[in-house]
Amino acid sequence: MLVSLRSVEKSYPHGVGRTYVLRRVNVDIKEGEFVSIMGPSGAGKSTLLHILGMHDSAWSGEYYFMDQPVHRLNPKQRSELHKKHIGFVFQSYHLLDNLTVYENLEIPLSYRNVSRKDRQSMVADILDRFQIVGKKDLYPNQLSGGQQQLVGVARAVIANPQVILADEPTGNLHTAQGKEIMELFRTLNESGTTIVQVTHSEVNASYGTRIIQLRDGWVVDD
Amino acid sequence: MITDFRQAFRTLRHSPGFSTLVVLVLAVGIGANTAIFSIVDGVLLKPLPFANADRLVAVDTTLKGEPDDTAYLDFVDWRAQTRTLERLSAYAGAVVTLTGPEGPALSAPMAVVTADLFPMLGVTPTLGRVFQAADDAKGAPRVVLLSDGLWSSRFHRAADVVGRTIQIDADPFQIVGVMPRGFQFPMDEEDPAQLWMPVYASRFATAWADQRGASFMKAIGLLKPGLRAEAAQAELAALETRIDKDSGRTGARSVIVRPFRDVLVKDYRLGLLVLLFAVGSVLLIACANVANLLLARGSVRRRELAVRAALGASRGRIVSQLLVESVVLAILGGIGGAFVSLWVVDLLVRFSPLQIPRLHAVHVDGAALAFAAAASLLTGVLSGIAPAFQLARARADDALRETERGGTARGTRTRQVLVVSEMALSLVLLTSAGLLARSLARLQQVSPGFRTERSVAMQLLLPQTRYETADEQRMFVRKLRDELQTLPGVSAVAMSTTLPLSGSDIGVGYVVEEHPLPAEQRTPASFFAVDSGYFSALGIPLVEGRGFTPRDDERAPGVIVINRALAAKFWPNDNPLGKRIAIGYNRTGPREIVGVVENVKQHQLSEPAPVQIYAPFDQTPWPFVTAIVRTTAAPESAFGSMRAALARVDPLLGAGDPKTLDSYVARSIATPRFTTFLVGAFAALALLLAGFGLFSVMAYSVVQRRREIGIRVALGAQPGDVRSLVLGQALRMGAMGLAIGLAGAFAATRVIASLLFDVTPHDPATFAGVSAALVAVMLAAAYLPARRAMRVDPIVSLRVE
Repeated sequence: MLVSLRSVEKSYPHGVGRTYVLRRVNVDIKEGEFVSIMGPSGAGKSTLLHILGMHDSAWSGEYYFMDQPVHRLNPKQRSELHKKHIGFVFQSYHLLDNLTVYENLEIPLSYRNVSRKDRQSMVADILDRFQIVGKKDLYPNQLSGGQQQLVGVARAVIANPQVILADEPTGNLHTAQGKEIMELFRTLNESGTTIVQVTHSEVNASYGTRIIQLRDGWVVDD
Repeated sequence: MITDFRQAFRTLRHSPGFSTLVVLVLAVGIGANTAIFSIVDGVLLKPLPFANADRLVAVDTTLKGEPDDTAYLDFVDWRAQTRTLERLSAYAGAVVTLTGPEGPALSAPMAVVTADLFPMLGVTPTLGRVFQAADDAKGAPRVVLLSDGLWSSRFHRAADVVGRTIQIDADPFQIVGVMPRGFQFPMDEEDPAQLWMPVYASRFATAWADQRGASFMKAIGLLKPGLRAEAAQAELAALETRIDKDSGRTGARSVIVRPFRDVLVKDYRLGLLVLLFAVGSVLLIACANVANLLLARGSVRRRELAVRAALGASRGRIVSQLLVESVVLAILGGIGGAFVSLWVVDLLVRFSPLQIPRLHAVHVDGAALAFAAAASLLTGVLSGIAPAFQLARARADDALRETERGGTARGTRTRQVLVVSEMALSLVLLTSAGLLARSLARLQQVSPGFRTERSVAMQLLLPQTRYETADEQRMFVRKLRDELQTLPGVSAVAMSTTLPLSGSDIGVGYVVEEHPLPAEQRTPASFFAVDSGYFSALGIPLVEGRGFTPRDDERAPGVIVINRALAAKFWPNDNPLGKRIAIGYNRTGPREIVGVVENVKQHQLSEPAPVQIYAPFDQTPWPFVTAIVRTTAAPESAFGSMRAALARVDPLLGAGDPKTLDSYVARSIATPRFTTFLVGAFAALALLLAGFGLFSVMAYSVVQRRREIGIRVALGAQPGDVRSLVLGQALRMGAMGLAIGLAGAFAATRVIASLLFDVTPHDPATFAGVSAALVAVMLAAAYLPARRAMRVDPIVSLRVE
């Protein structure tokens, strides 16, 4: 099992009580799945994704990632696990404005202590794979939204993660661009990468193999 | 414009924290500048408080190119023959003892002056009259003028004081006038004169006035309108050569004529200008800080300004509104600065070395307030101009579309340039302060050549009326020594004419029997007539031979002890013991050298010791006496008992206040200590402000880069990576500031070379030390923002979208 959540809960203090964002979430995700998390705004979709991505550590319950008990790991160990196996794609792309496409792609590798030489070949490879070699010296503001998200996905996969977590990856894109990105996810999934996406779109969800429905923090359908 | 001011006040009131911070930073900067300007203005710039002050010149004899005192007879010849000077006067300082029914014996500094001095200075007395030509004549009735202070303290401001007779050194003097409050002449005396008398009214001046070889006066002249000092110098130098020739006097004498004010302040000019530069730099750094704060705050206001622009405000209109805001801030800072300067001036005047002429009269006046006002306006414009143009340049549509994370690359660059400039400037200051501090430390390590701990000296002048003969002077010294030796807690007693580093020096001519130099090559030696306990009491080591014993009295053959410098000069490879030297004392014959002692610093710790000659007091008595005691307890405890001992020996003799020998040494380095302290304080302030500037830029940058940092963390950056990111940015700015600052310091420190002792202006250790200090402050300033960056939560920062 790639991911196993047991009774995961997240809440904030609110007045004398607590406001729950996630309630007793029990989810298992196998390797090679393409999962879509859906639900209305405020249902806890993004929160769940950030917990899976180990950006968020303020929750209770049990979380096993590749049989490792994430809930027992210290921040450094979690970060190592995340770096090694997880890629993240954001709705707003979150490319670094003052870095070129090439440098943006290089960043995750630099945090993984990949040597300069290996970095060069890995970036060249991904530029080639995503057919954006001609854009490598451009800055994010010189790219269209679709191109920026393409770079965002390329950045997520560059370090060969087992799983890609995508938070509304097509939310800021028009239909044609969105389709291109979803096709890309499908290809990645077919080549063995597990994909977990948060989406509002039924069309996007149809690319996947499984849908988890959330409402008010509860998993209401899986 | 009025609308701009109204809106500016309203805007500033809406952000009280920001406004208060800016006003405080500016108040410190403007206040320190106003204070130092007051001092520079009062000491260096203001005309002297005399009539025709710009035409007053100091006329000094020079001996081998060095300014020296002038013989009264030379002065008389100059005065009679000059065609370039409208008037010429002379004066000399001394100490007298006042006795009489008005109070206990009082030792008071006084000045002998020629009668035309006061009319030349344009000073009129509060009571009575000043001297007249008739008072200058030999044998004229003895008359005296009182200072306002002495009139108050000893005569209780009695209206009928003029005409009274008082006893000065046991001679009767008639008081003819009281000088106005605040009048001080000579102006560079630590203890200002309290009495003035004509030359021939003073017994010591009378004794010397008729000797062409006795140089003891200083001359001050009034140039004829339209003439320059150089003209007077050419005329008087030619005259002096003629006098030398006519009188058969030998030596390389000439005359130097310089503006009186310049001579008065020449020793302090560079130090004060360095201070002005230092404090000016602090203000510039404060301006850069304020500009930074305005820029940072400006990015918050971009939307407001964009709306204004969208509503039709021209770029000029926006610039003017932003400038008005910064000027309003600076004016408030200026008002605060004026108050700060009152306090700082008071503090500086109280703790500054007393020798700086005119310093005691410095206060924050109209000129200083005008300076503060001008500095405020300039500060307002300087600190506001860059932010105003920067913000006004933003295009309305861009700014309106921009999200909260906005802020332009250009704004960031401007802020970084400002911080780099701040650090560079503070490094220049810090280097100067470091060099001065190192120099002072070296100076403090210099041994004066004698023991100063637990020792007290009391200076006396024996009035010739009662101590006219050598026997009377000898007898007094013996009695006083015996009396001091009986005091409890006194472990050693020594008597001398003067004390090294006390500011008093007796120069005597000398001729070495086997190396007679031609007269024009002779220079005087510092001379001390001392008793047999002097060398041991002061711990001056004997190099060869012996010191003096009680048997070296007036009946014994004449003997002297010389210092190592004199021995090295004439007997570099020979033993000077047994050789003979004739000294210019009462035309007595050559004396045998019986000992050689170590050199003792004479005038300044920074100067090499001159040649020094010691003779037994019994064989060469003088009316100047310095009594020195070493105590077993705190030296200050001996002050009262020394005065009491003196009163038992001669109740009619006043003495200068006893002082510890440590205080003489401290006084000799008071000026460098003062300059170093102030430059150091300003450098520290500059560094603090630069550190604050860096901190604010980094803190702002972290807020701006929150999203970027969040992304990096989401992509796997460890806290250490984030810390390196922020510290790296600070270090890049620091490295630039360091490089520019070091280049600036390399050029600037040459200017202060003459203020340094035993340290080169490019001392590598100082440069390395201050660079390390700057880097440390830089890292400290960037550390908090870096920590804050490390705590950026990617979820929070990315959700802000």
